[in-house]
Amino acid sequence: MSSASLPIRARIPSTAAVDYAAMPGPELVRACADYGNAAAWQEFIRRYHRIIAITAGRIARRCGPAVIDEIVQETFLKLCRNNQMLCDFDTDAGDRVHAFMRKAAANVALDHLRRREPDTEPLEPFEESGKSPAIDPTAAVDNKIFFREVDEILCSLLDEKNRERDRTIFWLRYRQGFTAKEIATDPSFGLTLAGVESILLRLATAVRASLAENRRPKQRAKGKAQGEGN
Amino acid sequence: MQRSPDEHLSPGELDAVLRQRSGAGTGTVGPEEVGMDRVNVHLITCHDCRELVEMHVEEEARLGQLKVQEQAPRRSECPEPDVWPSVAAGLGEEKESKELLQHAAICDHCGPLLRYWVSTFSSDVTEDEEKMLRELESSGPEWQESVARQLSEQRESWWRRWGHRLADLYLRPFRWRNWILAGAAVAVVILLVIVQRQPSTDRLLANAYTKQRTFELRIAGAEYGPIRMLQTAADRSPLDRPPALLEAEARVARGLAETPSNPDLLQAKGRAELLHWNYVSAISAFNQAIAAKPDSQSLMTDLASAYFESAEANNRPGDYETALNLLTKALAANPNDTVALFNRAVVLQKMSADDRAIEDWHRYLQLDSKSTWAPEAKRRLDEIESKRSKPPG
Repeated sequence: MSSASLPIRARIPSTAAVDYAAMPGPELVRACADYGNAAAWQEFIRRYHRIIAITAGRIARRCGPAVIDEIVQETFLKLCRNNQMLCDFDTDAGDRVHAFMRKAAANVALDHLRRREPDTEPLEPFEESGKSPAIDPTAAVDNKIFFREVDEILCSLLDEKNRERDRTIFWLRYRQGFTAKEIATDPSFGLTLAGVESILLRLATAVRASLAENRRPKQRAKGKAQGEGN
Repeated sequence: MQRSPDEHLSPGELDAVLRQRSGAGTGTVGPEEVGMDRVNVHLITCHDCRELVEMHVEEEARLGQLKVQEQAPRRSECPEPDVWPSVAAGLGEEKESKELLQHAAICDHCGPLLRYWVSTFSSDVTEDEEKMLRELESSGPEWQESVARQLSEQRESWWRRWGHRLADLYLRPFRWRNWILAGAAVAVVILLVIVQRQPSTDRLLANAYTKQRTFELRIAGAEYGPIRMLQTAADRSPLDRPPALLEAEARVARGLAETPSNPDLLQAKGRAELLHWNYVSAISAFNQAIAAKPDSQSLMTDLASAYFESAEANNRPGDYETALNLLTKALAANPNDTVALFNRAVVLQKMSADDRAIEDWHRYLQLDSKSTWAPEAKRRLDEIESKRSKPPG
């Protein structure tokens, strides 16, 4: 059995210097969990500081660098204290390490902000676009009717096999404003960027054509009524 | 290369035109890749394609109005908000994530939350964020070194230090300090084994009962022993008692000095008193224990034994009655309790309720025909039956 295939826990840290910088992410995480010495942790911090700091900075965007530093430090301390979280990593969980660090930083950042400002909800999904426009109630009803119309067209276009997946992708794009790239990053779809784009292109083209087709008789009738009025 | 006039726009070219005109469209393929110059030339000359583009621009603008503008209030079917970071990070279970995404795609409350988390976890970094990173103290090597040391020290909790020391011992067995540590570890293990192997107080009392059974009724957990004496002689030396009983009494005394109302210790005390026929103290101890554990069948059975002794010692039929009631109550809770059943049969026999005693002995022997107690049960049953078969007078 080669040493690479041995579980991390089974390896006894050699007294010789270990090259933590060369270790793949999951192995470094487990090394810190199992026998974390200062050198292992230093490499851990060097490698994941950027991801943690950016996530903290995005959530605590209104706070200064000192608060972000606090959140970053708190995140590392929490990861260190909660040994089980780190121990749960499999050596083949390469892509998940970054996701895991982002989530850990997000949890710490939210807790930190709630402690600082207990009366303020730190999550503001529409903060970026400024204050959202006042919604006209009539327009809101029309919007609902139109949403239903598009959804019906959409469902009639989809084949049984991928109906839910493709419908979800379409509405993530057109209702929630996701980009094709953002949709493709979700592993549960199991699609590449080109795959998502291809689905969106096919569906959007067909939906637009159906919408236009639906509108044409109404426009004709309207034009006819206007002509008769004249 | 020239484009043929009857070569109309492909869906990809149409999408590229839409993006060029309104920033709409679905793809990321750049106009230069599609060859927009040729497409635009074609649009000038082809009326059908121009109409098609206009129609799609118009409908795309309508579809754009469907984008959620304001986060809606949370509905009853919405999941907890804390699920979205996991979904956005791609850390959720696949099946569950799919269902959550289906919900978020059409929910005006959850969709914006998911969008927020997806953009928060995005790996695209802006110029401003790069600037922020440079300004952080935590980006510097001194800060990182200092926190790494702190984390390393935290990991050195006491059990980990011991783990390291044992690992050192394994690696460098000839250092005298390591031998001391190894010796201490072995001593701890031996101590634990000794503690584990020590019989419990209940076991000691059961052993003492079997060794020197002083009354007819059974106590739970005790093997059969022949009745040696029915009452403790007043002048009997305490040193004549079985060592197990002496040890159990010492433990009970020490335990009750620390926790006087511990029901298990009070039950053990009561059993020790039963062995000495100190039924008054036994009744008191069992009653105190029952106050803490009112549903305990074994306490009811033991209390019945104390009243049995009282009835025997003072020739008080009322105490047999009390014992009978307590045992009946214990058996109502567990009809297969062989200790309570055995004891009730003996009590009934003492009360000359022969029919009921015979009934209990038959049932007892159905439940327990092989233990060390079965021969005594059979003998007692034979006694009653032979008594009944004898002609009166």
